[in-house]
Amino acid sequence: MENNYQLSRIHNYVNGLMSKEDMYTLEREALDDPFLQDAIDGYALQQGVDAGRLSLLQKRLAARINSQASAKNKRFYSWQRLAIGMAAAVMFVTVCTLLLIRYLPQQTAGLTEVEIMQDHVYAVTLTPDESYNGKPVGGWQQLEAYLSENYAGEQDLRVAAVVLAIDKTGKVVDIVIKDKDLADTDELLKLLENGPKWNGSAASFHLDIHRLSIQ
Amino acid sequence: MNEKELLSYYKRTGDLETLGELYAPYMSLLYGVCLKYLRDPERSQDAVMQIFEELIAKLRSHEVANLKSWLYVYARNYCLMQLRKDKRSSFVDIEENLYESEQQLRQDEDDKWDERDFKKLEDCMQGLNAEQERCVRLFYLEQLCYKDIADTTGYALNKVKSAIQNGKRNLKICMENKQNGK
Repeated sequence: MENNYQLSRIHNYVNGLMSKEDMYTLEREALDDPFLQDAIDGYALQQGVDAGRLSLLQKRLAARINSQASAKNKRFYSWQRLAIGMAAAVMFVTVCTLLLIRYLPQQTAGLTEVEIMQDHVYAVTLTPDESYNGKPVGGWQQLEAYLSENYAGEQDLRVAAVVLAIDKTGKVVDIVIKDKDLADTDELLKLLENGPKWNGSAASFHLDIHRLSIQ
Repeated sequence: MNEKELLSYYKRTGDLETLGELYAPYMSLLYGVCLKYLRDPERSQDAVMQIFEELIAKLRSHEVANLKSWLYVYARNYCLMQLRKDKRSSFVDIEENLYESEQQLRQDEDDKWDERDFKKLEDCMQGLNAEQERCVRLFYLEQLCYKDIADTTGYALNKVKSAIQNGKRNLKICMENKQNGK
């Protein structure tokens, strides 16, 4: 490299290892090149070129360049991580929102009904017809509890048989109410449609709902 | 890539490895320059590294035509600034180094000389003081190195060097004046 050549010339010059002709040539060069002249002066003050210090300097430069490169990588990876984190956060918020949308209306519906229940408390008696294969998920008792908790009709209700058709997913698809005593059954239909899921393909039960008088 | 291409590549990308490639060839010369002004190996090493740090931004924003002279001027100014900061330990008389800074970027163009120019040169030579004239003659005409001139004349080596530098400068000024006074 030109650089090393120049350096060894400086070294030889400063240490008097050069022929007079070479010294003259270098001096001539330095007269037109103050950069070279200053460098020669500098090394002369130190009594020559210290190769150890120079290689140390080269190492420092290399280390400096590498540190930048690795810092760049670090930053790159942390950006990647940040992006993943952001995506996860967005997904989390989305899921939470969906869950809230799914459950919040039911909660409020339950709340209003509880208020009504303060006026009327109903006793629900439910007798399953075992000849059908259908059963509510969670058992008959739970269905009974669900109805007595949520029924908000104005009147008592006595039904000989409620027959439900159930689809594969356990959802109630058709409800037939037999021998109702002229009472309003809309409330009951609504409760059963939104109520628990079912096992089996069809179910039937006898239902008796009557209001408890509060003294 | 040559130096010019490397420079423009660095300017575009800011790639530090490229800057290192540009800088490394001048590092030993720069270190020498720093040694001259700061007179301390540790400080000079730090200065060389610090100059590199400053180049990271400077070389992206500045159009540099001649990296070598630019680097030299930059390093020199850096060192002089350092010295100004700690005036106490100012080792270098700035006046003494004026010569270098004045001519640093000038490239000597090789004009054709005719007989009259040689006559003028001889006149100018007479105008120099005895010390400068003697040293300049020995150096440029006899082609003796500084050491031999010092031995021949009995002047100190440093004196020989500054006599030649100053003599050269004075000659140049004298020649230019005569040229303009034509």
